[in-house]
Amino acid sequence: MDYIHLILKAFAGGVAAIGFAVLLNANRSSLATIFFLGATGVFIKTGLLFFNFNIIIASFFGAIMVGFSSYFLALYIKKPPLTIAIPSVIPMIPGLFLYRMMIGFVELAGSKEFSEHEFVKLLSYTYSNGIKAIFILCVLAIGISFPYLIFRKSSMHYLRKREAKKGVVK
Amino acid sequence: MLQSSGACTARIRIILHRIANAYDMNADALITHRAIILTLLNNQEEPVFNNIKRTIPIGVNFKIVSGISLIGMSIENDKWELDRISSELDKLEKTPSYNRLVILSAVSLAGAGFCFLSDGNLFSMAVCFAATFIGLFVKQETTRIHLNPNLCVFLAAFTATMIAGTFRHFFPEGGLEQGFATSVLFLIPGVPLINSFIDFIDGNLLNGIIRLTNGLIFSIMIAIGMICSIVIFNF
Repeated sequence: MDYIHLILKAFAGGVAAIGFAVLLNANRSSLATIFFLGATGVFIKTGLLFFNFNIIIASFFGAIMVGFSSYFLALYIKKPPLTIAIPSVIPMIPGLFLYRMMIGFVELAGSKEFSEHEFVKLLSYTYSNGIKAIFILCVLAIGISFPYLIFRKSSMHYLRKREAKKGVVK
Repeated sequence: MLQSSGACTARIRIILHRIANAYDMNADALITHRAIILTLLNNQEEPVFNNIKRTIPIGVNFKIVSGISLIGMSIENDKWELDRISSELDKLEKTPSYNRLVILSAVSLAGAGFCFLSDGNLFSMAVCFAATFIGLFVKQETTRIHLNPNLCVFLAAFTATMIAGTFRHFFPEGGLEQGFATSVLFLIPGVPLINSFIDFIDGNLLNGIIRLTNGLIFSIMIAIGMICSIVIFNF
């Protein structure tokens, strides 16, 4: 995998993010941000995979990056952070793993006769794909909500409200 | 409160508090999936307003979420009158969504992008584009005649995978596994799943479980639609 491939993938991630933003009816003014964030997330994920990181860890870092930058960009363009974070993290969802898990389950539940060796092989294939997919999904959600939970207490609105309360007391 | 359009529980609570504080009141609310119970107390701790409101299960709409958030902020700053608030809410509800063709082509491009992300070749990207386009069209049409949303998702997944599967059946050497797998990705319920995790971390366990179950049912519907075409084509 070379660098052009990486950049192309990041571009594809951005396009996918925009598609989802349009599907979820996001504001027109936030589309550019969503494209940028989606591209960043995919760029980080594939870049880390390039350095032989585990795919779960790579997705986690991608999602954290998207979460943090969405938080600050949201203050800048005055939209709730989650409305730009959710579409931009969707390109990182592991569709192929989910699909392979499902195929594995269908074959396991099918009426074919398996030898024990084949059965165990198929079972391990299904489970490794499925567990990867589910862990990546969890990690994406956690990565997005991480900055949101850290900064909630110190967010701008909270500060403003506290100042207002002090003003009332005085 | 039209907050059923994809905001998490904590945000609803923050906005309620913001609006109530602007009028020197204290709001206590029980927020569930289908209804909101709201009690307003004034600053002498006397109940002023007490009501149960049913929320309408409409689709995810980020424009409304960010719009209401902005309205809440401006209420806090400028103390709007009640008429102005309701007129602004009406205006927000009537803001047009995107043109249908724009939605269809953007989401199909997103499908092609997904396919590229999972190492699909150009041919499977094209197949994925077509499958997503027609699948989403089916979903919009079935939603318009008010079918059960789960059934809509099932039909859309089934159509999309049938189209991708037909191509894969006739061109078995085309490397179309990725195209087939990614042609249903436009249906994934990303918003309920992520919202449910955020609710879990916040401690709104009940709402989190409800959203998680909702998302899981959609995923199962996608899976059933996909399995139908897998069985038909016998991959």
